[in-house]
Amino acid sequence: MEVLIGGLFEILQPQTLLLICAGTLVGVLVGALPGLSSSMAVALLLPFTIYLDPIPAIAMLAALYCAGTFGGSITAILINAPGAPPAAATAFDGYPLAKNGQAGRALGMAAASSVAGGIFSLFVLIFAAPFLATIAYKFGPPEYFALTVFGLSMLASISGKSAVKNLIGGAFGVLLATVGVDLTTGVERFTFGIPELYEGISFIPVLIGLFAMAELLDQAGQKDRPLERFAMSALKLPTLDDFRRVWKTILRSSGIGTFVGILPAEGSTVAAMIGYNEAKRWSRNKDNFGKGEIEGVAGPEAANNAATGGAMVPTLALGIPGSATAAVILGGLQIHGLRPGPYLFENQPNLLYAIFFAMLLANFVFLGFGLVGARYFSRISLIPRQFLWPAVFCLCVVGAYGVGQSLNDVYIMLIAGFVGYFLNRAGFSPAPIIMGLVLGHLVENSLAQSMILFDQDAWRFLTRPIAVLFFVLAALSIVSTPIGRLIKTRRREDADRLAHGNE
Amino acid sequence: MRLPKDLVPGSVILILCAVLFFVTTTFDRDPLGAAQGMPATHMPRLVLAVIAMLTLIMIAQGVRSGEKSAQESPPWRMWGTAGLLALTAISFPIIGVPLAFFAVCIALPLLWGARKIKIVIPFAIAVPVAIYVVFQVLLGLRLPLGPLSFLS
Repeated sequence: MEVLIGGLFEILQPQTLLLICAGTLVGVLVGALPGLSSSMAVALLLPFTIYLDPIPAIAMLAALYCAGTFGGSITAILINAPGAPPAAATAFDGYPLAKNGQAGRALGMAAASSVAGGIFSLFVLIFAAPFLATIAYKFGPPEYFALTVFGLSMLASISGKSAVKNLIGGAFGVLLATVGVDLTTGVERFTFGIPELYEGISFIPVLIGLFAMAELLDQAGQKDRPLERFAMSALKLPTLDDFRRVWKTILRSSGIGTFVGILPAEGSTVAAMIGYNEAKRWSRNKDNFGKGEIEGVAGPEAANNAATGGAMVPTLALGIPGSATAAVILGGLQIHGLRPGPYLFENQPNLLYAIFFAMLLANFVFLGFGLVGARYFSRISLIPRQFLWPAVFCLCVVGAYGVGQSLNDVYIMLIAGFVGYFLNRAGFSPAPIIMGLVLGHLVENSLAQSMILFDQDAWRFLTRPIAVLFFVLAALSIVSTPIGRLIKTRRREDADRLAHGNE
Repeated sequence: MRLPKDLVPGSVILILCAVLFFVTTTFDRDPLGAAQGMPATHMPRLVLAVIAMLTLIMIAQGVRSGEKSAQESPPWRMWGTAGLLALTAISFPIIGVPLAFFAVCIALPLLWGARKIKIVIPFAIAVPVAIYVVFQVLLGLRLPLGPLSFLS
């Protein structure tokens, strides 16, 4: 109880409250801008949090994460341009509702469902994270190695064009983490005699380069498309009847979103898609989906926001990011000298509750922003690209420069952006690379320590049941995607054969 | 002739893996790591092997799917933007960050099709000024100011 009050006390400091509100506002604004995601916003804001104390800094990033996920729904509903990938499913029914003159109703439902999903997942976070951390106390290096392998293997099933490409991206991130002087042996690896690389590749410039600069270069080649924005003359909130209709959907999607969020690497986008599909599957108005069904807004919105709290569970309890944005926040924790995992709960118990209260507060703040300011936020998406992206470039430069106050970091960011652009074109997404980069040191250190523990006999991993469990889960997560695809293809072939046979 | 999907990026990755594997053979010897069973070369080689194996699977999948690689080269505006940003980065130590931002905030909108110079100029002044006030004055970040160093 003392710790809980301690966390609340931390959040109630005027500076922290102000930062949470600012983080929420920035989150909603950035979330509403097509092309700018919450991962990118957290990446851009991260360098500036170095000047803050750890709790206000992480609280602000966590608030931004929650609000950014909701912000995407505003433009998804009003202009059919999801501000961020997690809001893509919201546009399926949100935009048709707006076209039918029910933009306010759709936005109100999006805000209310997001808050419900967010709060649900936060209560899971507050109970599950300490519980998971207690279990993690028993983990030794072999279990941690197996856990990180499992975390990386989950990249196979995150949204993206190809499971194999996601895995290659994750491995590439781990490879990047090996650059620099090896702390155990003192051997230089991939430094090519460049002194700036002795301490390894800076995390933040790579992050900003892969997320923001690569997107900027991509935007350079895109044509302007006229966006039609639906007016929201009067804010019509969802009625009590609406809530009676959707409460089951919200509850189901909150559960789905939280569960998906807890799984390492799986984020809000996957949660929202599953939330939408399940809402459709269980709805009495299946036929109305895609034409303006209010459950089609509630389902994905509750799920994508529930995934934010869920994603923080493994991030804080185990140090394994639950999503791309959580990976950036994990990087933030590390920059502030905090090592997520059971020892964080022992040494900094206030932090968990501070993050809990920050995210809780962010949910209520963005509810207010969402309901009152939605019509203004939607206008931000009408800022011409020609002005938005040069300003983003300036922020990227300052963000990359800010950490080490070194222009070399700016050059690393530009190179990462250029490489990221071509990787994107080839179908590789940046999130797995960031995951690999964040987890790289943990993978190597835990493997090295395990090998010492096992006296160089790798087979002895099999004597550790928890490690074996994680290896099995890793194998399952890798093979489940191709097997699922194979089953689908077989079914389609069978159906085709039957159809031809009937002819 | 259009090549199978993922063949070109796959080949580039395989070549990179081979080059980087060769680089690992140039690492210093480490008796400590060798004694403990995890020399400094092990992890990079392990990861490179995993990447190479996954890349072969990716190439095989591309060939089996029968899809062809897209032949579209990046649009000229991307190259223009990349060149402009690189030039801006090179100019930071010479003309300083605010002036470089001013230049990029004029050049980039024009390159991307903005034609209203009456909007571009105030925008190009506002962005560096805002960055200077927020980051240099309020947050105490020491940006390279170049000829404007008297402002620091």
